[in-house]
Amino acid sequence: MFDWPSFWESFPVLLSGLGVTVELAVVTMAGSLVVATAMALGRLYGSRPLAMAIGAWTDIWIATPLMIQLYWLYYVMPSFVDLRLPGMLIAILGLLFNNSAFLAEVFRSAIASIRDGQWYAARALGMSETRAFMRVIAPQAFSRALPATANIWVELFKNTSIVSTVAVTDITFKALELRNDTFRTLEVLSALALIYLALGYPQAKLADWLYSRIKVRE
Amino acid sequence: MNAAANRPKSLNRPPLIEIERLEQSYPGGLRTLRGVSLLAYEGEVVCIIGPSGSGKSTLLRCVNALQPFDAGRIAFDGRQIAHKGAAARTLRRNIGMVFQSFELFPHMNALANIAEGPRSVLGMPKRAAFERARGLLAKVGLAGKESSLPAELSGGQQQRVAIARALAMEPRAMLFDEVTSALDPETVGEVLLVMQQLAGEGMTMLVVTHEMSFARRVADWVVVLEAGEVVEEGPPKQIFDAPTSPRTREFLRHLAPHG
Repeated sequence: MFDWPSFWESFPVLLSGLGVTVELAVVTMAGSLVVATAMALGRLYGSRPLAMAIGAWTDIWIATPLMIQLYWLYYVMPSFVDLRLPGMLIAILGLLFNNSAFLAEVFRSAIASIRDGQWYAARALGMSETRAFMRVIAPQAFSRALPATANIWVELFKNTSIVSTVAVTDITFKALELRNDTFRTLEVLSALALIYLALGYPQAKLADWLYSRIKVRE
Repeated sequence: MNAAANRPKSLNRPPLIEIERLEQSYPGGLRTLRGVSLLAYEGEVVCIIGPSGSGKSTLLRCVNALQPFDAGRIAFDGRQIAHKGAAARTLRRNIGMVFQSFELFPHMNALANIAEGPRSVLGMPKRAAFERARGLLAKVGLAGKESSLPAELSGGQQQRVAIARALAMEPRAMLFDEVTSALDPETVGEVLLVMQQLAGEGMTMLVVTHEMSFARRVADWVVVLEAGEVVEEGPPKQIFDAPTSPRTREFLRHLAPHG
């Protein structure tokens, strides 16, 4: 029996965690853009050992589940190093390491997909490598990376729900808390799903739109 | 080789481009150039012809230091060229290059493509660079296409923008690497016309081409390259009408089976 009042009443409680969810996503994405750019450049143009180190690091974060990563940072790491970080910081670090690994791969393949002739053309004009990258390669790589980056953002937004497992009070945490208090599992989790849908759907549509726009331009 | 007798444009001056016994091989052992020597005097159009894979494009890329070589030397205006760093960049500023696949910057419109070199490399103010670009676009017959993106232009138009982009650096010599090979037949003529016009203005040009009629009409000197070696060189009349090397004759026969 679906109890509508319980359903409606869960919204204010869940939305009180919305700030944390948005903050996590925005901070992680902002950090990821910087970190992923550095990783992509290091892997493409850095020395061999650096490129290999970045490659290994990337593989670790891509090949393991986010929840295990967060658990490990939150519960296991403190037994190795004498450092107990607040849950919010662990959440941001975990999401950042995970998200930037995926994003670095997107950036790297976008840069590598620009054909060599563009480098030749830029250098033939007398540009330095750095100049050629900034003026010619990066802008093209940017528009190629944009749709996949939008998708990663949507993924990240949903993935923030997992940080509730390390006691960060995002909307999922609020929902699980409320469910434990009221035993209204059906209503509370339906409200939670609806919130994610309402927020995620426009973002997914935006990503689709970016894809179609890039296709037209090339 | 008596330069003064055969090459009136030399005027007994030293050559602008001097390639001496150039050798180049790619990793894996493929030897693309086996001791190529070649001279280009100021104001000359030197056409380099020969079968595919003979090392023509590699040779051009060596001249503006886009491709390192193993042995030999290249001098531009009497100065030996450097492979890297500021010296290589200075060299490239003075030598324009046009590619088979145009390589316009797809995110910039025609005008911005042409203005990019002066702005980015010469540090020219935006307004002056665009003014120069506008003039060059008109020169290659594309006035009115200022704001067109490369994707909106035909192959021939793109290639003319690419020529204008190279000219914007006011180079002392131009390298053309099979610039009509990727074009639809109906647009080849407009690109060759621009090149011919440029030759008429006294531009020193190294032209790798399969357009034999262009080479015959416009070249001052023709070099036949095969398997990384110069098979024969001379004025176009000699190369096309009375080639002395059997390999030149063989190559020309393959090009014109009807002839």
